[in-house]
Amino acid sequence: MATNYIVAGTDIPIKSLYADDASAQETLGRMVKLDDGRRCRYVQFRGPVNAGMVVKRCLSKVHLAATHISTGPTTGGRGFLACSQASLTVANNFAGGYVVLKDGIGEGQMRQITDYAAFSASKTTGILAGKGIKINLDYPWQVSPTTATVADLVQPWRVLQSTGAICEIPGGVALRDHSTSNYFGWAQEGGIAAVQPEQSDISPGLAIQIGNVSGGVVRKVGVSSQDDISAVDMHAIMGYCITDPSAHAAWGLAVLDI
Amino acid sequence: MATNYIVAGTDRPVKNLYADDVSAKETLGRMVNLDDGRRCRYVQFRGPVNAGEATKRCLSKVHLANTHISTGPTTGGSGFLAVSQASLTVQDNFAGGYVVLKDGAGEGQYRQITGHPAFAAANSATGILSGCGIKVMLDYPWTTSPSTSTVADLVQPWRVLESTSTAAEIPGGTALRYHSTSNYFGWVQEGGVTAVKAEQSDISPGLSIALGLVTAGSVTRIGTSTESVDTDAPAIMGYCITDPSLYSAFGLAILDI
Repeated sequence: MATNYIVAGTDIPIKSLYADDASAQETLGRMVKLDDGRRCRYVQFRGPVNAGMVVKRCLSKVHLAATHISTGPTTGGRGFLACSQASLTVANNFAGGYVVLKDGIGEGQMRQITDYAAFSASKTTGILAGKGIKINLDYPWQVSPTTATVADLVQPWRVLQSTGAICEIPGGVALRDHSTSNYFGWAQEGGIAAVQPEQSDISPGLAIQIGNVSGGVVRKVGVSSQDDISAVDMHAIMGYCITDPSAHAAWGLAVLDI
Repeated sequence: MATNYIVAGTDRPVKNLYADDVSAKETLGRMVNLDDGRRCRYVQFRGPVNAGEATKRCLSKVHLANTHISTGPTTGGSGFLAVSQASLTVQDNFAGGYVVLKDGAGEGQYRQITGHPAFAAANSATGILSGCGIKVMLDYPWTTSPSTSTVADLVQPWRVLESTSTAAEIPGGTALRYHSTSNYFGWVQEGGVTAVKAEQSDISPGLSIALGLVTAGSVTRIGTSTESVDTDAPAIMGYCITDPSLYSAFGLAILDI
C-alpha cells in the first residue's frame, strides 16, 4: 500500500516523505508520485508550517538585464548561460530551477538550471569583460541569447510558507509539522490531502483556491465567496473538496491538482 | 538533473525532447514525464511555431455514418472496427488517436487506434458491408459490438498543432523549440513549469491563464478584464508564476492541460 514512490524509476523509502531536515536530502523540486495518485514535491519551507497547511510559493527570482548576459555557444555538451549578476552569491541556489529568456534574441526558450559557481567580488566587472559565471543548463540553446536579451532565473521550490493571501501562488500542503524555519521537506501537490477551510461553508464538490487570510487555509471559488469569478480575475484553482470540514479551522479532505 | 525522461519506465536520451524531424520518430501522442513534474507530448506542428508559444489542437476527425460501419466480432485478440470511409486514404494517419462510438449499439465506448491500412479505390466500390472497406485496428476488443446503425468518430488529437490561437480553440501545449518548417514533428509541453508568452502586460503570478484571444501563441488571464467568464469559461491551461511584464514577452507558468 503506497510504498512504491516512483522517482525517476527508483523507489525511495516511505519515511522520506515525512522527513524534516536542516539541509537538502533530495534535489530541490524533485517530484514523487504515489500509486494512489498523490503527488509530492521536495521543497524548502521559509517559516514554521503545520501539517495540512497550504503553503504559497515565494519564488526566488533574479532578473538578468541586457548587460548581464553574454553571447555563448549554442552547442556542445550541456548548455550554459554566461551571466554577470551580483545577486548570485550562493552556489547552486537556483539549481533545479529554471531560466526563461523573456525578451530579445532567443526569447521563449526555457532550460532547467543544473549548477553554477557563486558570483564573487572578483567577477563583478561582468561577463562582457571576460568575467562573470557560467550557469550550467540541462540542454544547449537552440537560438543563443545575445547581450540584448533579458532573462529571469527562477527557483520555484525555495522557499514556501504558510501565510497565504489570495493573490499568491499555491505551493501545496505540508505533510508534517515543520517547526524550524528554512528546513527541507515535502509539500503535496496532487491527490487526496488534508486542507483547512477559511470558512465553514466549503462543501464536497466545490472548487477551492488559496485562502485570503494568513494561516495556510483554502476557500471555495464562486460568487458567494470572496473571489467572485464573474467580476475579477480568476486565481489558480487548487482542486476540490471531498469531505466537509464542517467548522471553521477544522480539517477536511480535498483532491489537489496544482 | 532532469536527464531521466521517463517513458513507460524507460529512460530515453535528453536530446529527443528538443528534436525537430520531417518524419515521426515516436508514436504520435506519446507522453514523457520528467522527474520535476514537466510533461511533454509528441505531436505534429502544422505551421512554424516559436519556442514558448502556446499551440492549439487542430483535431483531425473523420465521421463514420451508420453505413460506414459493419458489425464485427467483440472478442479475440485486439479489437477492430470494420470501416468503409474514403477519407482514410493515408495509412496509420489516425494511429495513436481514438474512435468513439457516438450513437447506437455500443455507444459510449472508445478505443485507441493502433493502426489501419489506407483506404484505396478498390475498397470503395460497395463498402465494408459487401466485403470491402478496411479494418481499423484497436487496442482492445469492444465489450458491446457496434452494429451497422452505429455512428462513430475517428479522432487524431495530436496531429496537427499550430500557434495562431483564439480562446475558442483547444490548448495544445507550449513548443519546446523553434519549428521553422511546416508539418514537422516534435514535442509540446502540457504540464509543469514552462515558458509562456503574455497577451497583456498585466498577467500576475497566481492568476489562471487560457489561450490568448488575438496574439498568436500567447496566453491571457481569465476574468472580466480580459477573457470574461460571465459566459462560457475557456479551458484553463494553468497559472502564471512569474510576471512577463511586457506585452509579447515571456514569463513562467505551471501548465496542466
